[in-house]
Amino acid sequence: MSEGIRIWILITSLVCYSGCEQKPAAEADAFSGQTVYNRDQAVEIILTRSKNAPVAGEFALD
Amino acid sequence: MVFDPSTRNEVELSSLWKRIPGILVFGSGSCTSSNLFNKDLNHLANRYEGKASFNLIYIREAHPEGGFQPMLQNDFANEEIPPIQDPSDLESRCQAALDFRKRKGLNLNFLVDDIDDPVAASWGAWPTRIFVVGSDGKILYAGDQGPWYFSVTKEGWHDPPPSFLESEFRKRPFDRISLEEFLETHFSDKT
Repeated sequence: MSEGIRIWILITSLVCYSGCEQKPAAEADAFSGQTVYNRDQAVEIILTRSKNAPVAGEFALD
Repeated sequence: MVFDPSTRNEVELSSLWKRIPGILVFGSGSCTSSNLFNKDLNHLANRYEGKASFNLIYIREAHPEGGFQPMLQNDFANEEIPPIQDPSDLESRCQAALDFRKRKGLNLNFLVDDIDDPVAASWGAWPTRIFVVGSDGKILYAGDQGPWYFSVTKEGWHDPPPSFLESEFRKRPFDRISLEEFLETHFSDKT
């Protein structure tokens, strides 16, 4: 295997790994653990979370 | 994963519907809906005893002291609720749950979400919501967003949400019949 291919594989692996590492942080709920202080915050929490709430027929989350 | 407020032991959520279907009522001591329907929940729990397990999952306070305090116009919502501090750790949330159970005389199985709200977030359950899960783990009833569509009995109590919220809620097929109607349709009571 040439040196150029080795470097390409290394760079690709690093990019993929860092991308996978960032995913959970991007999906984290920004409102978790926070006191709700006003109506705007309440509406934003409800809208954000309601989109992910399970519906009938889906398997329940444990 | 939730917690038993008395022992602080971890409880698998799936254990709530393992043997018989589980009813999950999400709420908190400062939540008007949770306070209004305590007698109705007790009544349904007695009526369907042995047919389904009735569980209250205590989540983040809806209206803690110093927090969001909406002006409720409906006379029906004129319920005396003592000031409740927003718990800052699991220990104080467990205590808030035990205080609420004692104050309202609820005979439901009480459990508590962790302090960073993982269960409330993944179930879209804040400030209040109802689900029924079958013993195969499939959701049978996913109540629409509380407080507007939190319906224990056939008589609703809350005004509809603003139209921009309503159009968002309509994008997902949540259930708008009450828990009572759902149980009457799908379960035989013990009488």
